This record gives sequence, structure tokens and C-alpha cells, in this order.
Amino acid sequence: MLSIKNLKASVEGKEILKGINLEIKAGEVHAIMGPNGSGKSTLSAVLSGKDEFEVTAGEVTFEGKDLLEMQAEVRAREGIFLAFQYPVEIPGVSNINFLKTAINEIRAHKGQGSIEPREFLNMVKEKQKLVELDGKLANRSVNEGFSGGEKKRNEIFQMAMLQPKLAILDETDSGLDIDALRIVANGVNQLKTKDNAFVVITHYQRLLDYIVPDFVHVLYKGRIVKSGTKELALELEEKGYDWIKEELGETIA
Amino acid sequence: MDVITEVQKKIKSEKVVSFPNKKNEEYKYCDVEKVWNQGFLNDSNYSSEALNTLIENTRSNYLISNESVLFVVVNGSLRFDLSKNSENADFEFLDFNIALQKYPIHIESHFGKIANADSDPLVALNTAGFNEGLFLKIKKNAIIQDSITILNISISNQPINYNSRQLIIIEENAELTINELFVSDEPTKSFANNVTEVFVDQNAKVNFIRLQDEKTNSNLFCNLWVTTKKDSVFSDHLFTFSGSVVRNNTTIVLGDSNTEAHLNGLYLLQENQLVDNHTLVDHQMPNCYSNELYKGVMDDKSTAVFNGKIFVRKDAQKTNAYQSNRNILLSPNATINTKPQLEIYADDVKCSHGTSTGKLDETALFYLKSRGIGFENAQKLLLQAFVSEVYEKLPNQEFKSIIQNRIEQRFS
Repeated sequence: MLSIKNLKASVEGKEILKGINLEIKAGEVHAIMGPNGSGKSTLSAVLSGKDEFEVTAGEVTFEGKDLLEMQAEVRAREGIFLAFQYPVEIPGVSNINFLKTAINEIRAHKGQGSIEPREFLNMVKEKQKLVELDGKLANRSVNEGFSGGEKKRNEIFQMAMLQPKLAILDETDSGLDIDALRIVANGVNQLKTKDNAFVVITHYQRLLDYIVPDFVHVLYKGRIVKSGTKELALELEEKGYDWIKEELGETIA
Repeated sequence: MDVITEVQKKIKSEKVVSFPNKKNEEYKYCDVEKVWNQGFLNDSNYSSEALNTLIENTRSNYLISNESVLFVVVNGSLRFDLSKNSENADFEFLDFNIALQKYPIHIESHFGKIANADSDPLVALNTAGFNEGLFLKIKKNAIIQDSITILNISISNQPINYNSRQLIIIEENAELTINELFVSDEPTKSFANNVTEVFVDQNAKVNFIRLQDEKTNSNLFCNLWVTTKKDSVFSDHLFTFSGSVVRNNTTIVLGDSNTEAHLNGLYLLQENQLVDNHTLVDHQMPNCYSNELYKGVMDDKSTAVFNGKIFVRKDAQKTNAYQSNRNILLSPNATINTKPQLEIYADDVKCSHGTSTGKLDETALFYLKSRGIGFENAQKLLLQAFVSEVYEKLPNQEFKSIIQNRIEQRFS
């Protein structure tokens, strides 16, 4: 589904991604872990199409199409979803209006007509339950007045509504207590199918107890330096990121 | 000689008043003389079909039913024949000449008493030159539920200039909303100078909703002067959607203790439009509250000016005065000149002012895009959010919907 070959990216002239290689197939859950500054956020930003990052080399193919050629909104319409680490508040833009506009633009891209109001409202009712946000969204602006946990749950709710093929969760677990974590993870697990895929970017192993990955990759200084299965995550938890640095022959300060 | 003729004579005999230009500090971004020099005649020329079409279109755009009270003024001329006057004994529209006979004391004690011909050349020119005046008096204790609209029309086949004049007296405890529309049709090239004096008596609650929607070649100069008495509340909601050059001078004199004023403004500009909003809130007495929120969206090569003055006089202790001007520039050639001016002479006051100018929030824009929403729809959503803060303050849902519709048209 997603094929990343030798991806290099810089911001303000500084190279952050130094050659990423990654293959993701439908039905898979990939976890990307790494210490601070390793390039995790840069990777999700480049995949979602943020302007500030310059791709200097490599290619990214999504369902056979050149992803890097597409504008951010086109990537979303093609089926990529980014759950933000820090979802922004947008006072004055209603949750409902925002979602309806998004759904309709995605449908238009696929050659479908606008969603029927009743179908839309039923969908909202149903998907809200998934992340226990019932009643919290109506008459409210996007993320306005939401706690950190509620904002993250809203990201998963949107994912449920937009039904993407590839979802990138950018440190979704940061700032969450155990209850919120469980709700978010449960939501994601319910959305998993054999036709979609997830990239779970996380610093800590804890989330991966709940969202069990098929593959774990360690990102360090802009490169994927180690790949494995979920056991790798447990090993990292036990030994810390210093273990990786030692393996690479770096001296630990 | 009646007071009106007396005042007019006095102004004409004093000095020669000319249209302000860039050399006048208060008009440095709005060269009225330059507009005037484009050439405008005193006489209008239009067909009744064109006028009727304009009135019908306005009725449907602004949802004015046949049952509502509607007073029509065409090129400054009162058109009782086209109006639906009130059947409510609590208020009625009168020509100044009739009002002079029916309410001589009211005219004597109010006309020209707050619109200061000395302080502003546009007021002096209007006062000296107007022909017909519209008088509206709301009776003591009257709670008016009816919708009241004053429709000011500029229409002519040849470039026209005119003065229009209003005197509105709202007596003790009365409550009402007045809707004032300014419209013209596409071919009309006009220069309209309007002066409206409003006297808000003790404990009255008044909402003024002004919609400036004249077409591309119309120029509009509105001078609103309001004075309030004890315990009263006055709110002005000023929406400027179109017109070539629009200059609004809005002065609220809080002339008594315990009174409240709200000034809300929204201007949506495109092409080469110029909208200049000058406001003055004059806190003369203690314990008064004023809150000003003006917001604007400028596109293309349009220019907006905001100058908000707040005076807090020596006796105005315990004043609360707030002012905020927020602007969004959609194009690199759009301009905003914004300046708050606070003069505070009392020592126990709370005053604040703030202004911001910028583009649309990039983070919010990207968030919307990341959900598949294209730039056009994303911009629309964010602009609607930005402007909604102003029209959310309108006194009823009907007006909110009307404005929302007009804004949606404008952003399409």
C-alpha cells in the first residue's frame, strides 16, 4: 500500500530524514519508535504533506501513485489520515460542519455525490460511541474547550468517520492517562480491517500493549536502524534507546 | 423662524465648508474631496421600474415582508407613497416639516444638538444642505416587537449627490430594534452624505442594525451621533458589504451615569473598495460600559481604515471601556490602517484596546486540508468562523440568518 524508498527530507536547510525505507501492506500495523529528535514527527509531516519540509531525495508511492506529487488535501482524499500529536482548536468552525465538508470533498474526489443528511447523522451517532464522545460534539467548535484526551479521541472519531486506507497516528499516546489511552486504542482496534493499514508513531512502548503491531521499526537520527516484531518494542522498553546507540557503535555520553 | 432653518442659515453664513481631503488628519486615508471631484449633480433621473425592481430585490434579499414597517428614502427624499408606516400608536415616521408642527419642542431641544457641525465638515455640509428630514419618535414605555426598516436608496442615471437627514428620539423605557439599509443599483454613481441623530432616553434599550450594501459606483458617508441617558443600552451593528468609498463616523456620547454602549462592525472588502470606520465613544459620566468589536476581511486591492477613539472624561470614574479591531488580509495588495486612540482623564477606570492583522491561521488551514478539504472550502470555513463573532451579537435569529446568507453569497 505504501512504499517509501530512500526518503530524505530537510527543514530550513537541515537534513532530518536521511534515507528512510519502508514497505507497508494492507492489513498491517507498523510501529515507529525512536528517541526525541530522531525524525518521527518529520516523517509524519512529510507523509501528510506539510509545506515546511523539503523532500531532497527518494520516492513515496501510495497505492501505486506518487504521493509526494499530491497536495495535502488530495492525499487525504486518496485515503491517508494523520492523527495529530497536537490537534488545533478552531473556534467558530463547528465539528459537524467541518466533518460534513470533509466527507463530501472526499466523496466528490471518488465521483460520488454528497452524503445524505440522515446517513451522516447516523454515522456521527454511531462513531461517537466508539471513542465515548457522545453528546460532546454537537454545537461545539472543532476541539474547542476539549481536554488533551478529548482532542485525541476526536482524532480517532474523525478517522472513524473518514475511513482512510492508511492512518498515521503521530504520538497519539502523548499526554494521555491510562483511561484515555484505553479508549483511543480500543477505537483504533475496532477500525482495523484487512484492507487498511496503520502507522503508529510512538516514543513509549505502553501504547503497543493495546495496539499490537505486526512490525516495529526504530528510527534514529533520520534512519530506520532496526526492524523487528512486537518483541523488539519490549526489548527497547527494557534496555532503553541507549542500547540501540551502543549497537551502532556510538559512545554514550 | 424654526430651529432648523436657523441652524442652516447660521452655518451658511459662517465659513465656507469644503469636503475634507488628505490634509485633514481625520481624513488622511479617505480623500472625500477627491471622490467629490469625480463630479456629481444635484438632480436625479431614474425610471420608476428601476426603482421598483431595486425595492423588490432588496425586500427579497433582506426578507422584508409586506407586513413590516418600511420607510423608503430615495436620494434623500422621503417617499411616504412607497412606505408602509406604522399602525402602532407608539411610533410614527414624520417629515421634519410636519414634526415641527406636531412636536416643536422636541425638534427645538434635539435637532443639531449632538451632531456637531463644528467638529466634522461632513456634518456641517449635510446640516447646511439637506432638504428633507426624517423624524421618528418612540413613545415612553413602548416595547416594539415589530420589525422597523429604513431603506435608503441611491438611484440615478446620471451621477448624483444628496444629503439625507434623520432625527430619532427614543423615550424613557422604550425598547426596539431599527434596521437601516443602504442600497443602490449597479449603474448608479452616487455621493450620499447621511447624518442621523439618536437620543436614547432613560432606561431605553435600542438596537441599531445598519447594512451598507450599495453597488460598485456608490459612495456613502454615514454620520451617526448617539447620546444616551441613565440606565439605557445602545447597540450599533454595522455591516459594510459593498460600495466604492464608504466612510462611517460613529459617535456615542455616554452622557449620563450607568449607561451602556456596544459597537459592532464587520466589513468585507474586495477589488478597490475603501471602507473607513472612525468611531468615538465619549465616557462623560461615571459607571458606564462600552464595548467595541470591529472585524474586517480584505481581499484584492481593497483598503480598510479603523480609528477608534475612546474619551474618558474627568468625572467618568468606574468606566469600563473595551475596544478590539481584528483584520484578515487575503491578498498581498490589501491594506488595513488601524489606530486606537485612548484619552483618559479619570483615574479609576478599566480600559483596554487590541488590534491584530494577519492571514488565515496556517495551522488551522493545514488541519482542514489534512481532512481532504480544499483551500477554497477551508478558507470559507475559517472566514465564516472569523466573521461569526460579530453577527452572533445580533439581537435575534432572523437577522443573524439574513447576515449569514449575505456573507455566504459574498464568500462564494
